[in-house]
Amino acid sequence: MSLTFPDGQPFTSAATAYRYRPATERETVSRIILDVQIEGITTAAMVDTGGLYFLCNPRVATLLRLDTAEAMIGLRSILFRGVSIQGRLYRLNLTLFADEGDDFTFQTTAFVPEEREEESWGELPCVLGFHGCLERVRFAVDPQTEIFYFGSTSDSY
Amino acid sequence: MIKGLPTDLETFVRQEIVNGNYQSEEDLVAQAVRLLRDHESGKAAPQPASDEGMDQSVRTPDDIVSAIDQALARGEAELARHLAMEGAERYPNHDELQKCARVLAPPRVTHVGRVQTPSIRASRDWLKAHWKDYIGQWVAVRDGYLVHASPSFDELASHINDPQEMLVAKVH
Repeated sequence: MSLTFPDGQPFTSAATAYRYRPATERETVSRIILDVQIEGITTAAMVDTGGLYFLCNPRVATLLRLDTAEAMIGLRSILFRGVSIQGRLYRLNLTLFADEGDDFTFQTTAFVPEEREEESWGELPCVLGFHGCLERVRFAVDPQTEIFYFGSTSDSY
Repeated sequence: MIKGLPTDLETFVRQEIVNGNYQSEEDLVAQAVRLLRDHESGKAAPQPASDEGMDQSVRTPDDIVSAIDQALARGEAELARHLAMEGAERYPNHDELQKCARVLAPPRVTHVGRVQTPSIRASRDWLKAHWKDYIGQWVAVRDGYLVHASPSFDELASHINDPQEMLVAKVH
């Protein structure tokens, strides 16, 4: 299933159903939540177009068994929902799963919190930010059918 | 600070920082305002002491790494990326700069096509069908079958030998 420009050229090439509900038990505002694969592990991630990078849930991150030698040197701090969280920046492979069309795999800048940040992170899933993550993905949302359409841009290869 | 500038001026600012002529956008803007102030008052513009005798063509890779760190600390992700990409191009043999550029580069598509195996698909279908029964719990699902569920991630993780191709998520 794809969306097209008026001239018939494809805008997106895939579509997937998303879950529209609060990302944690305590939240009251619904989020767009997608199934994604990060370095081979399937998990949930919420879309945050005002955010930076792919932010990995610190508990899920423990399963990735990342080598800190692959990260940029040094711990970084990000302000996440008013709380400063420490972690490292990696380049990871992220896949958006399609229900129709092609799955879409790209390298993303990923912020991986330190394991000790679990409490600060809370129960949130992973987060798909814009800069460094979705910025080379064309996407559109149909809130009526809760379908997330996506595809690549010409400069995303 | 440079958002809203014409593109040519924004490029000039970034290039000056990459070349080491200024430590930051603030540094450059401060100097520009000093020049404007002095111009308006008819005085000759003084040179900053830090520029005296300095070879502006030389900026070490470590300086650039430091500038990237500072940009990230200030939340200036675009500037950090720009410095990393320029630095990596200028110093192709500097491992840390190469790593910075690789990590901070714009996302790059590596594969368009089927990644989702029948096993993954079955696990996603399981979650769609059963999520209401496991709200508040971590679940691990493989091949469309629940491996384990627990409110405690640590407890769940103790039941996971190989997480590859497994669905692991907190259900809400």
